[in-house]
Amino acid sequence: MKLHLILRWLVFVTAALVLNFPVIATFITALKAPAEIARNPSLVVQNPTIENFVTVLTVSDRLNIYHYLLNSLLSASIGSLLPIVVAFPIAWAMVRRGYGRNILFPLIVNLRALPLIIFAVPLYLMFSVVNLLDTRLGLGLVLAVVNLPLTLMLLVNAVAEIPIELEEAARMDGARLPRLILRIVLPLCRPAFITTFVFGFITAWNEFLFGLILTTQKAVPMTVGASFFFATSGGGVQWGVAAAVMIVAALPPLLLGLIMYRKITGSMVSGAVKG
Amino acid sequence: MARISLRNICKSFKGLEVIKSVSLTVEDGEFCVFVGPSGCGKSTLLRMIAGLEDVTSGQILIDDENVTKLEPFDRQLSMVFQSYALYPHLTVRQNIAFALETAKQPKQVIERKVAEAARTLKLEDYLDRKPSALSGGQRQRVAIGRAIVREPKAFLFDEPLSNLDAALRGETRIEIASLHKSLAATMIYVTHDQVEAMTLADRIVVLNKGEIMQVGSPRELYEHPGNVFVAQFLGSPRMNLIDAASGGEAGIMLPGNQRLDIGQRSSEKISTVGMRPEQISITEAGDAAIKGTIKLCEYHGSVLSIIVDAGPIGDISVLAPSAGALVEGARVGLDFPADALHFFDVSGNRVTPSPQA
Repeated sequence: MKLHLILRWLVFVTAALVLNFPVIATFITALKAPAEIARNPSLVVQNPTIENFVTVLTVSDRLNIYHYLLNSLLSASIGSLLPIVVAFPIAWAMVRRGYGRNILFPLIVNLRALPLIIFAVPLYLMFSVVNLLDTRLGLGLVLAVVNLPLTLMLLVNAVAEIPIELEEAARMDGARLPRLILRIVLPLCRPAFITTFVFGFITAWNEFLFGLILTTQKAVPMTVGASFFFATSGGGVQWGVAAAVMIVAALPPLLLGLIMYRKITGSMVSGAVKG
Repeated sequence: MARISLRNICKSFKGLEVIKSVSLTVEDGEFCVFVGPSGCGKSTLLRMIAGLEDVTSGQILIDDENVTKLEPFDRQLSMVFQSYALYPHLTVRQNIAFALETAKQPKQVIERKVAEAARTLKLEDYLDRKPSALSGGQRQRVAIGRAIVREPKAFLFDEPLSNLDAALRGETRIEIASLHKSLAATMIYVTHDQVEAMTLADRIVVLNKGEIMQVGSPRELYEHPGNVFVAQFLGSPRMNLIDAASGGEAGIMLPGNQRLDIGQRSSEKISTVGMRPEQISITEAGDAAIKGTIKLCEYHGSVLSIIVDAGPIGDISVLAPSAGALVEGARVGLDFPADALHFFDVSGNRVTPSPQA
C-alpha cells in the first residue's frame, strides 16, 4: 500500500517535471544574472537575483511593460467578451428556431480551419481605411473574430443542452422572449460563458500574428512587446531579461485559468428534468 | 376557470397527418382525460391547446375567445410536464413564484400565494432548496405548485405521473383528484395509463391515430364501448373478441359452428362479439356455450387470471375468484349472462341488436 503511494507520487512528479521543463528552465534562467547564464547552464542557481524582473518591470523610455499588459488586457477582453455577446443570441436562434443551422453554423465553425494569415492583408487595408490600425479596439475586434467559431460552437452546445421543456414551461408561465432569455436561458448558460471566456481570453492573450501586423506603438500587445525585450541594448539577446518577460507575460492567463478552473466544469441543468 | 373548445383541429408534420379533425368541448370545471396508445396524438393535442404547437387548421377557443394564434403566454393556462421541467437554477420558492413575478404581482401577494401553495402541497420545508436536492415526488409537487399559484383558466397535465414509482403514483393521483375538487378547475390530463384515466376523469377522450374514438364518462366507455378499439383499450385484461356471423333465427354463429343464443334479437350486422374477462365464469364443461381447456392460470392474489383455449374460437381470458381450485389443462365451460355481450359490426362499431319483429 505504502509502496503503491510512493510509486504514484514518483511517476506524478517525474511527469510534472518533464512536461513543464521549458517553463521551469525559463523561470530559473530569469533568476540568474547575465554572467551566470553564460557560465552555468544547470538548473541550480548559484546567486539568485531578481535583477531581470526589476529590469522588465521598470519603465524605460523605450519599453513599458505595463503599457503592453494593459493593451493585451483590453484587447483580449474585447476579443473574448464580444464573441460571447454576439454568439449567444445567434446560438439560441440556431438551436431553437433552426436559423442558419445547416449553412451558417458549419461555415462559421470552419472559419477556424483557415490559416489566419490569409486575412492579414485585407484586414490591414480595411483597418487603415477606418482608422483602426494600432488601436486596442481594432486588435480586439480581430481577436473577437478569431474566437467567434469556438465560442459559437460551445454556446450552441450549451443552449442545446437545456431541455426544451424548461423554455416551454417558462412560456406557459407567461414569460415572453426577453424574460425567457434573461431569466432562464442566460443563467443556465453561465458555465458555458465562463468556459468560452477563459478559452477565448487565453487564445486572445497569446495571439501574436495580428498583434504584430496591426499594431505599431499605441496598441502593441504583450506577446509582441515581449519580443522587444529580447534585444534591449544591441549586445545580443539578454536571456535573463527575456526569460523574466516571458514569465510576467504568462502570468495573467495562468491566473485566470487557475481562478476559473473550478467554474468551467459542471452543468447547471441537473434537477431540471427527470434524469 | 374556463371552457375550452376545439373545432376541427388538424395537425400535420411534413405532410403526415397526426391529428385528424378533432372537435371537442371541455366544460368549465371538468376533468377531462385524453387517453390512447403512444403515438395517438394525445400529447400533441394538449400541446396545441397550450400553444406550444401550431395548429394546421381549425380553431381553439377558450371561453369563446379564439386563441388559435395566441402565444402560450397569452392563453393563461398552466401546464405540468412529464419531466417536471423545473428551473434548476432557481429555488423551489423562486420556481413557484416565477409566473407571479412574470405577471408583476405585488411582493406580498406573491409571498402569500407561494406560502399557500407550499402548504397545500406540503413543500414548506423545501422552499429554499434547489430542485436537484428534491426527490421525484417532491419535484412533481413543485411542478404542480408552479401551476396552481397562477390561478390559470385551465390546467394541462402531460403524463405527470409516469416518472414516479407505483406507490407515489397512486398517492399523487389522489392528490390531483382532491386538487381538482378543491379548485373546481378545468383540467385536461394526458395519460396512457387507463387506471389514471378511469379514476380521475369526469370524461375520457379516447384517441387513436389522431382521431377521437369515443368521448364519455369512464362508466359509459367501459360499459358501452362505441367500437372495438375502445372496448379493448379500457379494461385489463382486455375484452375478449370473437369473430361471429349472423346465424339468422338461430342467434349468431361462432367459429367452429358454435351457436350462441342472443335471445329474441336480430343478429344481422354482427361480426364480432365481445365479453369482458370478469363477466365470464368458469363452470363444468357440460353443456356450456363455450368449452375449452385452461392453458394458463396466473395467481394475482385476489383473482386468478386465466387463459382458456377454446379451440376454433381462440383464447379467451377470464378473471375468476382465486378461491376456486382450477388447474392448467382442466376441461372447463365458460358461462356468461346474455347482457354481458357486446356486439360490433364489420367496421368495428358497436351495434345494438334490435328485438326481432
